[in-house]
Amino acid sequence: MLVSKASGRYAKALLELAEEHNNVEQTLQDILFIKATLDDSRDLLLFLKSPIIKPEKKVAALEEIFGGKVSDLVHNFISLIARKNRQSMIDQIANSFIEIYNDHAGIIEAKIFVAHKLTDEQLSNVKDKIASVTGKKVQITEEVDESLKGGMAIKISDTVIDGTVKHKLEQLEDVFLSSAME
Amino acid sequence: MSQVRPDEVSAILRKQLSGFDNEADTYDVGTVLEVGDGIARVYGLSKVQAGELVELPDSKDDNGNPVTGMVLNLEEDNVGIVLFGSANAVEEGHTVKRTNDIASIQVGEGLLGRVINPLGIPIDGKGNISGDTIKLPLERKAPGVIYREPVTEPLQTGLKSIDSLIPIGRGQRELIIGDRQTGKTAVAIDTIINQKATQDTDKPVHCIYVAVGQKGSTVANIRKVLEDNGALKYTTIVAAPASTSAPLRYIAPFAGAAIGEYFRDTGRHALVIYDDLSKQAVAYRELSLLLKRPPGREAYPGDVFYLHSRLLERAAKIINDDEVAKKMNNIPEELRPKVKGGGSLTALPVIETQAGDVSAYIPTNVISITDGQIFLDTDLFNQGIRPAIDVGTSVSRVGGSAQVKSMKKLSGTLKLDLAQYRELEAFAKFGSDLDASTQAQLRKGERTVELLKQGEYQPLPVEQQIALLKINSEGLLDKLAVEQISDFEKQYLETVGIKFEKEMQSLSETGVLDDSFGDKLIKIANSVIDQITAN
Repeated sequence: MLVSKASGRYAKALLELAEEHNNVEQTLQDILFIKATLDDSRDLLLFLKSPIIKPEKKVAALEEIFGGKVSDLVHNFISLIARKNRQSMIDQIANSFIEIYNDHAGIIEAKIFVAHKLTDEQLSNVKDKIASVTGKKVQITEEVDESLKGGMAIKISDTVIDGTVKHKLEQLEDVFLSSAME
Repeated sequence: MSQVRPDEVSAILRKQLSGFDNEADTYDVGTVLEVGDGIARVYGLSKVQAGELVELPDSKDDNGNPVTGMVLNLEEDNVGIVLFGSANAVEEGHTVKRTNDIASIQVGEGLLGRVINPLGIPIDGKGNISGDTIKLPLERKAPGVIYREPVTEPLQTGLKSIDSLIPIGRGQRELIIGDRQTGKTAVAIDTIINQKATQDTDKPVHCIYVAVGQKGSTVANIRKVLEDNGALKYTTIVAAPASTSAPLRYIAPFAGAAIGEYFRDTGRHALVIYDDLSKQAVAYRELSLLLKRPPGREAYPGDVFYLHSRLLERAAKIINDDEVAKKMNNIPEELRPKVKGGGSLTALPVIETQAGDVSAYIPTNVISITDGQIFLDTDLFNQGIRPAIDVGTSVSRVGGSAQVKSMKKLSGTLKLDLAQYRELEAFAKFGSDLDASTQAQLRKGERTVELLKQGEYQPLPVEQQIALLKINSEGLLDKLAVEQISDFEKQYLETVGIKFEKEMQSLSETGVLDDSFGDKLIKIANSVIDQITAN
């Protein structure tokens, strides 16, 4: 995603401030809450990003939605963002914050692709295995795609470890085609 | 029609399957953010290298093959990729996969006689490249100083005016520059055709013709000319015609250089023609502007000089010492066991000028990079002087030391004659009002110019050139009218060929024209001249 550099800077400042106030976990929960709200409500996101709606209205709306539901720190932060006219970046800032926090706390996000939904036990096995290989805490998300046919692919950051049946079949096709042409 | 037995098929399939490992495959991916004008911006691919090939498995071109691209820009939050195939198939959100391969080409003996695209894929409809091939990177650093040798062996172009006045040596870079329609490509093609004579010797010259941004019909025509003249079997044509995308036109000369390096580093001789580098520079400018690199003079990016200098530096004469050559820098591991010394790569880049303007950006750049230039002039061409080489502005900075001895001796007086003729040419219209010595100089100059004319696709072996220039230096041609020179040339060479086959053979091998043979040549010339003037 083309992310504005400013969002990373706001997120970093917030994390550092939260550390000073010994309030990192609470801040994370608040940010996750904001992110969830934005993810759930496409209208809110469009409202914030719209260039037609006046900044004051956006500030008032943010105040109404999040006021009293988040810690003072995050509340102040939202007012700051509003004052600096960066309301439209709030989703990017939230993403950047989670990224920086994960990096800070040694957490990696792993996405697994499977053909059939895994049981909780299987999922925790996979999680433990990734954790033991990478030596980091793992946050896992699962995506079910029947076209994979079987096996599993794990995506950690940009690297994919692909053991799906679909990928194997594609590789076999390549091998057969290239040897057929010789 | 041969039949395939089912049990045979299953045996083959079983064999293929048995070697198939069951390990998980690890690769790096990114996501297309935006695409347009043949450029894709990609998020992810955090470990990708500059110049690496990437594949877009989600985007299939018209033939169902995945679109490929090359990484050119590594930026803070995204990666800029140029697409080789049709960009229409690429959509936002498509996956981009690393191949862990720097852009490279499969090179082998099987390439000779073929027409390929800059990625090494044959486009002449004759099937796959046969024989063993080695993967060589398109971008490779030029050999260092200690692996080189001065140019000492001649590369005969078969053109009288070039071999005598602007000689080219093996390992040299000589620019062919001129306006459109002045015969630049003809000079290059004649040079390729003339290498036919070297194929039977122990030092054959393999040729590579790189066509950048030309019409497809022109490329087909060149292929046909080479085939008709028996030159295709030792030539590879790398074609990136005008219809191909800018990235392919940009990498085409590098593909040609990589093929040339294969011959150079295995102790053989190669000649590569880049026709033409101005079109490659335009393709590179297109890419650079789309990648938002800042434009400089004539909107070319700042590194357009480096683009051409790093390409032309790869032309070299390699030291004739296998031990030293084996230690050469940046040799791909696959090639290392085959490395031998004594090879060479000669480059003849072509630049097209606009209205004779050699002081434009790209022409001045390439003139300063190369070891000399052959300047072709529209006025000369229209006067019927073909090849239209402007002897005054054309130079060869290193070729002199590679020239055949007797040719070197004869060319000294030739240069002087032509220089004096050019000085007096303006007075020629005064005719009989001039004094006798001026008239004599004009007379001689006219005949020399006439003698240096040569038809297309008719290269002359060096011994015949020497035999002709010997007669000119003796002043025998003054007895003939200008119109009779071409008749004389034909009859004289025919007679010499019949009477002195052995002597001509030794002349071509040693390059020494002794006095006794010289006298014999003069005698024959006199008799031919008498015969012509008598009619």
